[in-house]
Amino acid sequence: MAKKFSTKNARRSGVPADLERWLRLSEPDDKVTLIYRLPAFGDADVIADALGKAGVSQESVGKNAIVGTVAQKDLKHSLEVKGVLGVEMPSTLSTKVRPGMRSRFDLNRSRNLRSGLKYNPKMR
Amino acid sequence: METRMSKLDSGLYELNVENSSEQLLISEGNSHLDIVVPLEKGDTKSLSLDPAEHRQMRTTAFDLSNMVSLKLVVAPGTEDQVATAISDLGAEITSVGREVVVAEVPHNRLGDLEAVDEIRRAEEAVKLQANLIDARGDATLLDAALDIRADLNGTGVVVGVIDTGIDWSHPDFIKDDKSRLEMFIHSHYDEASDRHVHEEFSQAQIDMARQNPGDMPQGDPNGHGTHCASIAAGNGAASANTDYRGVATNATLVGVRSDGLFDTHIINGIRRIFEIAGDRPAVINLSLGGHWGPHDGTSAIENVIAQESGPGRIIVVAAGNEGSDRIHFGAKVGQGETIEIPFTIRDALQRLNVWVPRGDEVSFEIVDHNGDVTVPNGEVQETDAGAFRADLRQDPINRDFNFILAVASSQRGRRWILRIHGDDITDGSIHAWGLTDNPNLARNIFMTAGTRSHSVGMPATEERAIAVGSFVSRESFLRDGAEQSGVTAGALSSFSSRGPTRNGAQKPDICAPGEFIGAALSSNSEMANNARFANRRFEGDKYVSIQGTSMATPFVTGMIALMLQMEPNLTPEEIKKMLRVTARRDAQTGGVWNRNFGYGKLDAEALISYLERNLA
Repeated sequence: MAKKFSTKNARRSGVPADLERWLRLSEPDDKVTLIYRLPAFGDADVIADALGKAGVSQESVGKNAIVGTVAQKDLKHSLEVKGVLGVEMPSTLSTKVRPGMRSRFDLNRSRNLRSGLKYNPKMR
Repeated sequence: METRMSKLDSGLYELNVENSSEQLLISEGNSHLDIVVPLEKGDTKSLSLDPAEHRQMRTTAFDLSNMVSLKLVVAPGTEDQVATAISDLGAEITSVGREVVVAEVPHNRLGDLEAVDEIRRAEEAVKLQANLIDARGDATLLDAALDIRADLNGTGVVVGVIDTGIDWSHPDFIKDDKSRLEMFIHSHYDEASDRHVHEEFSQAQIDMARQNPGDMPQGDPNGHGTHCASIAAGNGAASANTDYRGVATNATLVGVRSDGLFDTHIINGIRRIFEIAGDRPAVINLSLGGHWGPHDGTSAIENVIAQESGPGRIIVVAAGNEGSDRIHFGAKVGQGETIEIPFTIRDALQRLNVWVPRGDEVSFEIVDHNGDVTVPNGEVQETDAGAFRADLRQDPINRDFNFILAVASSQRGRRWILRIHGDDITDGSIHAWGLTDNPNLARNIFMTAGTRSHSVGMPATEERAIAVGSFVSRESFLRDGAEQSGVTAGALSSFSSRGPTRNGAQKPDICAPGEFIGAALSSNSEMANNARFANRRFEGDKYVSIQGTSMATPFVTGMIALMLQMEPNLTPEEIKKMLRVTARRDAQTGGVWNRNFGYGKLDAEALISYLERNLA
């Protein structure tokens, strides 16, 4: 019987699985942009300084997160900087514009017709 | 022909038509003036209403040969009788419902409505007010709000828009031949340096680039950000009578064009905009989002919003357009129970983002569309139906468990199942979000098992963000356009994402008009060149009508800019409280807070009145 894939065995880790895979597959000089998570009440400047010494080129520093780019060869060292809780890999967001769907309009229109409302194309 | 208008003690307006003995009585609506029947008898003259007298009455002239769209409020039970009576007058009945008959009535028969005793009131909603396209009228009562404080226009407030960019050459972002953008930031991946860069362009550079466009990157190759920016703060300069102006028409703009909409760009943008604002109040519009992350306010970008927000530092986020997409599954798994999450392969790479509360011990199995059961092992595993990989780890921030499944299968439309066993359960609340790399394909992933709830996206799930849903403010893309939707004005947009968040936070906070909104069109953008938008463009292709919570969000952003103009140090919590207590509740919103409308519909008039009272 296969071993359970269970939360009981889940590793507590601030390193995403995708980053671990990238680490295995990349070359030492390959770079990755990461969001370093900091403690809510930590000293971001001190941690930023330490990350800089660890080879992280920083794009922005804030109270609880630092966005920085690091080479593969420096990644492990940067994750060991005191105060770094974990990292997130950048993800993309999407705009919230909704494509108009004629089919839905047609459905609603017929629903109006079914409900007894007269449809008038001039209706505003 | 000019008119003189005076307000009577009764609250009615008296309109004196020049060179005529006629008088029309007009009642003061919330944001516009309603014709009250009976009209004075006699020959109806064409009217030219002086916009200086009342801004909602800018639209000129009744044409005697025209039909007038009227909403007739009638005595209960007399609807059919009234419809028949006015049909005899030549009216075309649009719809008949309880106590309201909507009809097109010949202008020269308006006076005859007096003879129909059952008509209590007639309202003309379109021709006597500014374009509903902008949702400035009934939908938000914005014009009524500006009648209270005509000086409100966002002066001294920075409005930041982080999006696909802003078309810095659009006339709506220019005043006195100077750009209204104090800064334009282009965040993008730079191949040469193998990193993301954030190039900044000052107002002076923008003004020079307007003469030599090659000196700067295109403002907005997509068009989305320009549209949002103009709703929040466009001055409508490219439209007749500035009809398509936004809310905070004199605010200072900072635009961030993010190529790829990476959350890292957003984080940088938020920090930089607040830095540029300095001592000035600032509000940032984020008409974007996603469904990665824990949906509980603990992701990095949500934390940045929480940390960067504060007095005079406000961030407004679109709730999302996934309200009807069935991208969320929620269930409770009990001790010793098994739940199944059926999901449909919509794209070549289908992903599930599953969260399990800390303290719960559950185990997972994957059932492919052939019914073969596989226990994941954290590596790539293949079945006859496709390949998948599952990752499971405990999040160090919130300590909940995150299970991520990625399925690669060429057989779209087939159903797989994620099976979860409750081995040792304390809470048992399971939440899953379905994702694809192409957002347009991320629909109906959970088919009938999916829920509308919990579809508010990240980072709108952050408590300090103002999360905005959408309701219908008008019923077609164009005023006289053929694209009639059949949607109902005032109703929640079907696509508007529903709350709450995974940790139970009440999101969305409020709803604003998002369907269908006319605003600035970025030149030479995807929207400008896409045939799909051809019949939604107008005013010389300077404007376009589109829909989404993206469009609702900048309404609120603009309103907050006006609020910050009145009181620069308002906190997100104070603003939320004001939005909450002044939001409009009606039959469509139902009781609030609710997961659909949040605290109700944005009511600009009530909001500004509230501030006036409480800041005095």
